[in-house]
Amino acid sequence: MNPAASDDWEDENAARALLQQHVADIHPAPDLIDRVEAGIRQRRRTRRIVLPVTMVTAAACVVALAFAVERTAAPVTHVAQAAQPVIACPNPLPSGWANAGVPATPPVPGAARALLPGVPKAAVSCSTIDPARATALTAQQLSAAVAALAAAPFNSSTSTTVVIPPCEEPAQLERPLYLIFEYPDGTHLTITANAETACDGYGPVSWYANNGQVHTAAFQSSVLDSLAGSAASTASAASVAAR
Amino acid sequence: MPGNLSARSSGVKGVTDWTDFADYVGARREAWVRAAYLLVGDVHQAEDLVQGTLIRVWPHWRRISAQGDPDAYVRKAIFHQFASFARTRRWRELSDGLRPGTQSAESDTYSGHTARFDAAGAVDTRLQLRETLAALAPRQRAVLVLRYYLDLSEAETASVLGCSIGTVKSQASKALKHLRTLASPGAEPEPTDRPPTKEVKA
Repeated sequence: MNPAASDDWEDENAARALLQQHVADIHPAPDLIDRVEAGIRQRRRTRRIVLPVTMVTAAACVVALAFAVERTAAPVTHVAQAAQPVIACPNPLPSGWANAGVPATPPVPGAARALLPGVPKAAVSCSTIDPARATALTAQQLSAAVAALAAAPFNSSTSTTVVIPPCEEPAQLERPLYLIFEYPDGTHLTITANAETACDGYGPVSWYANNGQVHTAAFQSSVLDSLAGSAASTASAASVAAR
Repeated sequence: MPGNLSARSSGVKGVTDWTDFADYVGARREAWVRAAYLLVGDVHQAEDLVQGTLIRVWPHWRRISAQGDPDAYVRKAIFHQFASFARTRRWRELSDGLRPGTQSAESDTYSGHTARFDAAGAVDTRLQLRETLAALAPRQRAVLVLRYYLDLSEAETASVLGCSIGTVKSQASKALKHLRTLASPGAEPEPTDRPPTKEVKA
């Protein structure tokens, strides 16, 4: 017999004896089956709770994912107009009023937008606004925009740009302010105000149709004054929307 | 015991199934707990291991018993459960505690079973063997138990552990060499595949 094999055989037998001897006095608790039974019950209870919760969570995740995909894949309306900045408006329009982050540069495709409070959604689709000045200027600029809309010769086939000087401390308006209005029929109005624009109280206002014609009119202080309040702007916006 | 079990506990399966299962557990619990003890080195942990395995086995019991060899299924389940347990922190703590020179290795974690050791020599050998087993890598320990406690062939052992027969042979050889140090105390123990654990400084 091979001595090495013989050694292995002895080792194996010794191991068997050792292991058997080692556990000879091990006696499991007599209630093992009761513990197993309790464990099975507990497992069943846990599953009864966890399974529905997991399924509901999974379903919610699927719905949220589908919604996110749909939102991502939703077509973005690019409104390009002659002599106008190109604006990307969300479609459908976001609900509620919130500053959604505003770019430091003039509106570009895909730029973040902020909706302004006080104007019916039907009248305003999207706008970008200088965040630093938004609070101070919103009501007044909005009133002016509404007034311009009310005063402008409205043609649903054209879009109109109205340039309004900032009406208070223009030097503080470091970045151009844009308000983009969209009529229910799809036409747009962009109102621009910037620091370079002369601001002498309530100055003259020009608005530009996108057909290249330039319209200039003197915005009377009294008109703006009368429209400065949010109530007036809302009323005017409502009348614009009604058009 | 099986007689205490209510029909309610049998769940969707019949009372007969549960009675059958309970009878099986009653008959085999000692063998499984002893095998589990050799794997984990602690009676309570061994009972937990077997208990957890049996809880997982029960939903499949009808199919398992119909196949006619529930031992094979339960054995495999226990060793899989052990493999999972061997990856936990609890295992590292337990295993480190049983290694030579540690406080818990000096004391006996048999708790209620201590009184049964009447001979000092038997206790010494038992502690030595437990320390020796604790020094083995989990797979070596599993091979040792399957081959020399449960008396499985190399092929059966490889099937349970999901490895090759060659691996079983090499692991068994290493484990045996390590065990040999018990028979000849002067001999240096063979290095095992067990990775060294980090020392925790106080």
